[in-house]
Amino acid sequence: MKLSKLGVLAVLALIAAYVRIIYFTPIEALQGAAQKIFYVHLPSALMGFAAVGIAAVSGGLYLWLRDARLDRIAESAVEVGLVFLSAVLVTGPLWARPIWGTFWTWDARLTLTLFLWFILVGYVILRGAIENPELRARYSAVLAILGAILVPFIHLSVYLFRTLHPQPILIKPSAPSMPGDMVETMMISLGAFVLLFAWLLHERYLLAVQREHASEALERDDALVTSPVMAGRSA
Amino acid sequence: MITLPGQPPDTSFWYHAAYVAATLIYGGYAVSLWWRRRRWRSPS
Repeated sequence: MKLSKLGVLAVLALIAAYVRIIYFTPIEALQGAAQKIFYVHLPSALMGFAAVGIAAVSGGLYLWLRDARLDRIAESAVEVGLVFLSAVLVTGPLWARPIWGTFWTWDARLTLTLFLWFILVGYVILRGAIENPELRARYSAVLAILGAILVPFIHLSVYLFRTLHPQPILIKPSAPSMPGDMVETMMISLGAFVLLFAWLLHERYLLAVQREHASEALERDDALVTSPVMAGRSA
Repeated sequence: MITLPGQPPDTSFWYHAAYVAATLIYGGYAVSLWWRRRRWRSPS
């Protein structure tokens, strides 16, 4: 895999975001440097949720149109989303340890995010377990749609339940409750993560195409070897 | 955690740990994609 233009752009944007976060963003007075974990945690979560949304829409469209490309998009989005949600579930506890005094609590938002992560793991396992491509695409489309139903509940969980997780300070109806330079850093980081997500999704989609072509070629070879003409020739 | 009056708490260990972990997760996945694409491209 040669680094595509999108890949170069994503890596450069991430380096720029890291430099901005480390050297040009103030340290929060109450939390110290750990608050800067937020600049990776939130964009990872947003991209993870976006991936689940893309998988559900592609899955839904697949059930309607039966186009294999839609299934490939859904499959790619789920795998990439799993990576972003894994980053969320690792960076979150690393922030929680110094701030809450514990890595994990069975709080509504944390538990629902972990549940979504398990649904995505289930999706990957399901795809590996079904050999029939049409059946595999149908079942996984349904699972992706079920996973996406969870996303709005995860966002609203901090309003619906008593929770330790901080209330939204950026994505809310009123203005962000962060100083301007912190909002700017968040926007730069978000832009870099959008590029990273687009690049990884594109590469994963190309892998799915490549794998399908290779499987088709293998099937053709098998059919050739087992055909009576070829069997006679080899005998 | 030792905090001087008027100073933010020193939580830099957790901040560094989170950034290293995120870099490993995303970097590791990019490498796995590269490796898998190479494997499927090469004739077996």
